[in-house]
Parts: sequence; structure tokens; C-alpha cells
Amino acid sequence: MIPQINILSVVDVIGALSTGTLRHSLFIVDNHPANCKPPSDVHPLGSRQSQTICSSGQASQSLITHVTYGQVLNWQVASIDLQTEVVIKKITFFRNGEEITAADTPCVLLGRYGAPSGEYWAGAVNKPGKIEPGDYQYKIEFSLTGKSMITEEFSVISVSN
Amino acid sequence: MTDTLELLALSKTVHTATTPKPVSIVGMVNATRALADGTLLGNICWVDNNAAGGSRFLGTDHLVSAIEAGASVTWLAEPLEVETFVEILEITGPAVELTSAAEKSFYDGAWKYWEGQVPSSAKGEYTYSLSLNICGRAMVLPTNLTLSVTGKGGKRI
Repeated sequence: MIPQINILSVVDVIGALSTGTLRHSLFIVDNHPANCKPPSDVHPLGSRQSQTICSSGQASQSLITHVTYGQVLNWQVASIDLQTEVVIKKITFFRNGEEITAADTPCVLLGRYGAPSGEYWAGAVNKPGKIEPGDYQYKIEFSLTGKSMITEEFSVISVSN
Repeated sequence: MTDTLELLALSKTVHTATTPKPVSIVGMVNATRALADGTLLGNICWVDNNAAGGSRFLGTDHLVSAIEAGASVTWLAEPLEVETFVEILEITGPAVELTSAAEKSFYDGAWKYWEGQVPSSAKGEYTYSLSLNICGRAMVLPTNLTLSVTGKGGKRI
């Protein structure tokens, strides 16, 4: 298991501002290894712990990241265009399309943190018993040179033991 | 030879309505895993800002960037991890002379990126590779990237 999940969004800020949408101007990847089988493809007799977990939808808005309870998640953002600025303003979680209240959040301690290389967002997957295993969608609100834009599609963290 | 030497000559272009769209290319690097694996294979993917102009294989390690003749192009590498360091060391490939004129630049005194300009006479596809500094360790891309140079207005030459 990877101790921390790093999720990087790269935004074509000029493209998004000129089209008014992030749809073709946002690429999200995480640090799960490439060329591995998703959990659904794992052989029933295989040990879950011994399997390499991967993500799907890499380099798209609809990234699905497989996580475990307690795992730390870090979100960073960068601009494709050097002269433009983009920051994460907010991350909102949903369950079956409904916004999740703070009490039921799948990601505790979620907030903005600082690092020598710049600010990032981080949180930890909630404890067993606090949240059910399964898929939790989220949307990211960015500030693109001062203009707020929210992802149109859901990204997902898929929680399992 | 002259064309290729010109291809990535450093240029600070003032963009007007008639200048071709500048293309920015960003590599997203899983630095920690690249160090652990000893290779960038499976640990880097590339995107650019010209999918609408015909760029292909965005999000893969073999990006083909569509770019108009005369356009400027920049390259930047970004680590996925917060506390790791990645920068482009060199641009190399079959057309070494093509890339040797590209130059390392700085933005805001912090970000190191590479910048060049495609000459107006360029046409066709130019493959290239990059070497990266991953937290002090030099690594070369396992696959080639491509600049697919079209005529102005996106017309394929």
C-alpha cells in the first residue's frame, strides 16, 4: 500500500477561461502505479493485500483513486501556462450525488496546508465505522487567475479495507 | 539543418492575433516511484494545451503535440509529490541539433522550464526525448515525444 496518495491536477488555465469550462482543460493523475490491475480484476483467490492497486481515469477529470482507511491524500494543482495562476479553493465530497455533511465526511482534517514548494490540500480517509466502504465522489473548486471554476465531472475515492 | 537549428531557438514573442498559439507541455512525474523503480517507465505522463489543435495521446508517455509553424513552445516537469523536486535537464533525441537551441529559462526566479520556437519553415513530425533531474538523480525518458508541426491556422503541411 502506498502510504500517501498524491493527486496532481494540471490546468490549461487560458483554455478553461476562454471556453468557460474545465472539460477539456483539466488533467488529474495520482501516484498509483501504471499497468496494474484494478481491484475488480483481482483473482478471487488472490490476497487483496498482495495485489497492486491502481487507479482508473488517469489524466482525466473522472479519476478513480482506490484508498484505504486512514490513508493520507494530498491534492496539488499546477498550471500548464507558466504565466497563469491556479489554486485549489475547495474540495467537496458527495455520496450517490448528494453533498456529504461534515459529520459524514470520508476525508477528515481536510484543508489547505503549506510546503516549501507551495500550498496544497490534504486530508485522511476516515476510520472504519465512521464511513462505509465504497465510492465517494468529489469535486474540486479552483481559482483560475481569480475566477472560480468547479470540475464538471466527479472524481472518486473508492474506500476499502 | 538551418531549419532544425532554428526550430527551438529561444524567442520572446509578443503574441498578437496573427501569431500562432504558443504550446505549453507539462510532464506529470511520480518522482518517488521513479526513484524506487529506477526508471520513468510508467511513472510519467504528458499533457499540453492544444488538444483542440490536434494534439494526441494526452496523458500518456508518448504525447504528440500539434503546433503551428512559428509558434513558441515551453516544457515543464511537475512532481506529483509535494516534497520532491523535478526539473528538465536536457532535451535530446534523433534531431539533437533541433533541440540544442532550446534554452533553460526561469519564471519568477523559481520555476525552471525550457522554451523554444518553431521556425516558420518547419514542417512534419519531430521526435525528441528529455532527461530529468529527479531529486538529484538524472533519468532519461523511456519513450519519445513528438512535435507535429502544421501550417498556420492548424493546416497540416
